[in-house]
Amino acid sequence: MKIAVLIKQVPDTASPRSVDPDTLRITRDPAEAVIDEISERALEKALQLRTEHGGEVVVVSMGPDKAVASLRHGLALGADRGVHLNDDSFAGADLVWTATLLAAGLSTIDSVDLILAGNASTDGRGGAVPAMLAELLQMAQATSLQAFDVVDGVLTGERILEDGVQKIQATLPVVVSVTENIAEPRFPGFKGIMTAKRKKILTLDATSLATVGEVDPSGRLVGANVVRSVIENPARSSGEKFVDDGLSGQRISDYLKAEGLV
Amino acid sequence: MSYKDVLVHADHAEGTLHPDFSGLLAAARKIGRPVAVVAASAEHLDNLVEQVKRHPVESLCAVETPAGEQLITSELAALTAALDRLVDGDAEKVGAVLLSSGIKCRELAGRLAVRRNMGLIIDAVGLDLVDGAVIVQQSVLGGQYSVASGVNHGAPVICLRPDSVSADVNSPETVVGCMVTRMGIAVPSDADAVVLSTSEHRVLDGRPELNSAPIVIGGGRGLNSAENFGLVQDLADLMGAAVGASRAAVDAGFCDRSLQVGETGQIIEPELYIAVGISGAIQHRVGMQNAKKIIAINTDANAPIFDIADLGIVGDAFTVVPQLMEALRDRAGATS
Repeated sequence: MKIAVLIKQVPDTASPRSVDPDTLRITRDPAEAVIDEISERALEKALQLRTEHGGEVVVVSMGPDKAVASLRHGLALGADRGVHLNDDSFAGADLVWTATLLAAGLSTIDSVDLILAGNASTDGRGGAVPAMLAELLQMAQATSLQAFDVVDGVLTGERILEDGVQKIQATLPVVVSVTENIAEPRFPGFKGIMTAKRKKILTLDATSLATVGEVDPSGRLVGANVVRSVIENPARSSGEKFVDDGLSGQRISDYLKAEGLV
Repeated sequence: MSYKDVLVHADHAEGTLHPDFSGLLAAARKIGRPVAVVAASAEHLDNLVEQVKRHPVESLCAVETPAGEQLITSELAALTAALDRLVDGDAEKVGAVLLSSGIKCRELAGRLAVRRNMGLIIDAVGLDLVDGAVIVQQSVLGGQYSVASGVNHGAPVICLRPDSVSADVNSPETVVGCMVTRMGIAVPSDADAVVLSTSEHRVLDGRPELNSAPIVIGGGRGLNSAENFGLVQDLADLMGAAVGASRAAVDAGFCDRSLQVGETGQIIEPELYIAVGISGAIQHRVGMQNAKKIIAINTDANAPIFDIADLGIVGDAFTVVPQLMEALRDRAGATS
């Protein structure tokens, strides 16, 4: 089974994140950049599937030079090779352009059975890219899965929606997105980190992407979305703080009444 | 400047119209003339048409989808057909396509944008028409920033967060007649998954939905056990509130992961959030810091949750919450 896993490098949610007032984009530098945790969970599932079915796991990421660190992390966890989509012109890509470039990059990998991604990243949170990839690559989508198995070329999984769970089935090849419940990521071992250094990462820029891939990004909208303004909201300030004196319940109740909340 | 058509997706579950529809209609009316589209199998379509017609909308495109259990391509084909009919060779006629921001709706929006080469804006919290252009407000990085954006080419496909526009804004009370256009589509040939079965959720126990409840009670690791987490549920039931949880509480197994509020859970903006035994790690704060009012109860006076709380109580939740419940019951008793 050949599995491609989409890896996204994001600003660490535990560190301060910001929007650059000049470019109106999320600051990617020098914020602490980490592999998005949901990407690690998707990769873990891919590695489990490789153990079960054999085959190859390819980690794919679009991002600037430093995204190589996240790809190396994926290789250290056990992926076999990497594909890095990197070009200055990719910076600030909106959802449609991002999906188009990723689809072009993925189409360079021959006979993929599964494309695995997280259901939504912690920075953009769009949650639409996996479905858009299915549209672009003309593959079935099996998205928002909290669990799935593949038997004899057929995927069966549990799709989590806001108000229910669907049991769904699709014939490979399939674009899959996974929720947090899919798997607990492993930690890279020393051996993994050492062997990762010898594994190959193929870098594709805009020119090579246009010629190598089966999906031609030209003719698609580039940067259709235009940010007009970004306003930093004032930080929330704290109100009164009381040490419990046995009257806290009444105090909260009075506050709720005063604010018209009960 | 002419007023353009805005295609509004009327989502439904098994023939029941989704409650977000009225907010979408009101938002559409701010930027153009709403044209609803509903896609359903023959079994549900007539009933849905009647449900849509109870809303203030002048035009409805009712698309009958073929029987079958396709995950998404039938509904996508229906939406595309309705859009193409509205465009009718002149893309300038359509101002935007509006959908809700649920999981399936985002996917429909994304695929439609790809299919018809349109711009896509997800998680909108507001819409405006500025000099004939649709401008969309978004709240990013956990509410730290407000972003206004548009598309520079044609009409955008937009997913709007629930309750972003109140349903009564600019909406006429009633509309004189709704013109219903019926269409049918063939079974799409696109690759798709099939739905084998659908089951309803899960642990709500009759409580309101987390992402739309006006009051949410959040429980954290300070509650120490799944059994003690019941304290939060009791308070929620008394107040008619939804229950949320920090990631620490979810990871410790106190409650279902679907209740998680935060960066990797749900991002909510209730009128009131009461944080019980939650320290207020950044991961959690970005999910709830846009609540209109925040009350925090925590034993640690230095917990970061107090930095954003309108009212903070440094104390033991197992003492304070029962006191609060008693006070609320007394008040209810006094006024009834």
